[in-house]
Amino acid sequence: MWGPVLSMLLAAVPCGPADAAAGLPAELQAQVAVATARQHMSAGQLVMAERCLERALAVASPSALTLRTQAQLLARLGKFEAAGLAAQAAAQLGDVDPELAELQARLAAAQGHRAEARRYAEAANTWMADLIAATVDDPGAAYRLNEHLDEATARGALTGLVLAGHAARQGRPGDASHFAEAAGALARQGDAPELQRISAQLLAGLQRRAPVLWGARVRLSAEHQSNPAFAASDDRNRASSVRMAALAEVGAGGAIGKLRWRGLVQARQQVLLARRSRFCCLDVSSYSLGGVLQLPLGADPRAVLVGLMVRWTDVFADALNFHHAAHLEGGPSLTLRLGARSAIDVSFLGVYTDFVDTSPSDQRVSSLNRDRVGQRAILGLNFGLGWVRGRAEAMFLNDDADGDAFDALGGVVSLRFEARPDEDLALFTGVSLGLRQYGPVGDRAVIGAAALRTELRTAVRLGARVRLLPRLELVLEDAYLNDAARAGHGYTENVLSVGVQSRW
Amino acid sequence: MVAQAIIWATLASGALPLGVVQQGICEVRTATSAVQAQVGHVLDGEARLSTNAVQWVEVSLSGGLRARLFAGSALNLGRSKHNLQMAEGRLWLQKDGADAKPVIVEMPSAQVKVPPLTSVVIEHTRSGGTLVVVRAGEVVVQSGLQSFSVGPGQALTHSPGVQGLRPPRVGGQALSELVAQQTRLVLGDPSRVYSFVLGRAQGLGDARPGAVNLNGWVRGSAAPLGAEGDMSSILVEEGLRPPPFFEQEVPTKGPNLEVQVNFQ
Repeated sequence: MWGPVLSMLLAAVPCGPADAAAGLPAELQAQVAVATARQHMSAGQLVMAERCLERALAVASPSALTLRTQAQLLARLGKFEAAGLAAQAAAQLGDVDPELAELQARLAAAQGHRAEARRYAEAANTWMADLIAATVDDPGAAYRLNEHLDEATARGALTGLVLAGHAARQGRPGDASHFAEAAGALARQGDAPELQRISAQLLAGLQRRAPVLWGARVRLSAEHQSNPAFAASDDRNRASSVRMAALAEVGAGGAIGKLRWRGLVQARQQVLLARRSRFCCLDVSSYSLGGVLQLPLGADPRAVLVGLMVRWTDVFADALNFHHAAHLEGGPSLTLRLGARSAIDVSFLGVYTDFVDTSPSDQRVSSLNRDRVGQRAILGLNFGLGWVRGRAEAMFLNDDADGDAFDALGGVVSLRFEARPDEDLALFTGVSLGLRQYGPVGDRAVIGAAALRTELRTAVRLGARVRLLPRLELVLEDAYLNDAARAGHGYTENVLSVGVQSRW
Repeated sequence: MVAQAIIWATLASGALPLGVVQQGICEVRTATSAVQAQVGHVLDGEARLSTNAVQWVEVSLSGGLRARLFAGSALNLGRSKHNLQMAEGRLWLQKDGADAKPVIVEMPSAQVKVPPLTSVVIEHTRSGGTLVVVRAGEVVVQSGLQSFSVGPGQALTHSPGVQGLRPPRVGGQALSELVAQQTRLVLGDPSRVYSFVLGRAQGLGDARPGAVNLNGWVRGSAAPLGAEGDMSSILVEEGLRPPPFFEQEVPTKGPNLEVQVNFQ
């Protein structure tokens, strides 16, 4: 009963030119009121705009034009939820242009509805929608945005700024600084002084806020091992076991001027829970310390990074009474970015491994002395395909062991993928194939082909991480390993792991 | 008062009012008059809308049609709301679901049928021909007896002097982005999406970073061998695994046996 009365009252609300449109059909009266409302919005007169929109809604049934304008107005008034409802109503009336989906994505992002924001952005499928999605850390959007880093325009500069934020939130401070620098360069080339100023502020803010960025991970898992002692497949004494495994690692990274650095400390502890008496030295404790220095050659987003890596790993067992091995590796690397979604890197590493208690002592001459000095050349390709990221690697290896039996020459190829179909779920898999030729032992001219042994090592991993709480993930993983060699030498191991991990 | 006068003049001319200037400015020419139309101007049928090199206009037409005319363009409104003639320039049409009947946009050598739930950009010049880019929905472009459906993200061209239409292909994204950017510039970012993104980027300096992903933080030779993170599992494996040769398989040689031979 009150509806028509209210409509009449609203229709009498003053609204500039709309007041003069009384003789027109209702639809056009509403259009005039909307046009007036939009003019008021442009002038920042939001109350007048609201009044005119009320008028438009009073004189005619809501149109997509009226509702989109209402959504824009409510968004400017900070009424995001009501704006979202108006935008949804506009969409239901057939407003299909990506402009509306961009607005919906922005409204959802402003309310912290990340999944919803990503969904609208994906529907819009525009540069602006990708920018919005990247602010809520959509890896697919960040992937697509990289192509705009080629543009020496304001668009390229804004893209760089948004990617800097994305990288910083992903815990990649070096990349964040790099993108902010690139944004500044693109803004300068594209004559966008405001964006240039913001880039400089952002860069300074990044360095001031986190001169050293810290990260940590703790993981606790129960693992079933089919062959924890790596006994030969035809060994009758081969047995399986169950262990608890804990991992703790702390990483730090930062930049000193253009030079970026990263450091990592890692500790692992394993405790056998089953058949303890049948195994020796498998309550493994390992410690690792590593660091990387990288220097970008230029401010271009695709600048080559020159790096240096070094890493020390020490593996003990039985409360440090048994020393498995000490391992040192390090060397230079070159990384060529092909945008942030892909990069090629080459590393040349020297390795030294001392197998302390698992190898004959150095005082005794033995062909089975496993201690070695070796070379590694690794070619890697990182790539991102939206919600799937991967890395392909090829490695050449050459080991000069103290015992001839462990001299090795070979190569490894590996491929790993991680898919994030959902924000709370990550699926990962990987395969590694390594072919090694061991020997020669004795005099090859006398023994012939028997002086060499070729083995094919295959490693396959498959797993998933599911977020249970904001900082707690369930991790399920299976790692299968097979070394194909002649009888008495080949071995197989499978580790099935269920655990939880937390990251900060 | 001026607006009232324009409206009454429109109604008095006998032509049906078809729409309203929503934003921007353009020249509106009818059989009897020519005015610079601004926001709120009511448009009647058979009017000719044209923009000069610095003008841009958005009009809403009856039946849920939003038309944006870019600089240097001319558009003739037909007698009915379902008929437009694109004389020259760039036009962005968004048609919602208010009217089920499609709008026909005619050009000298082709016509575009724009059904409901569609957003399309049409560019036409005498020298450059016609380019149709679809942002949402699907339109039908017809030239003579030939016709093609053009879907989202696709572009269809019709070059002057070339017989028939070229089939639609992907690659309409660039023009689609360009018109959106120009519109945002002219309208001053009405949805505040640009300023939202810029604000997010600016506010980063105060934002708390997410958890650092330590995967690949210090990458060595373990990963290619199938181990995640560090070398420890590889070292345990290589320390315990059966050797490639057993000791008894290796002939004695090396530093534990030295033979000295003297020839006389």
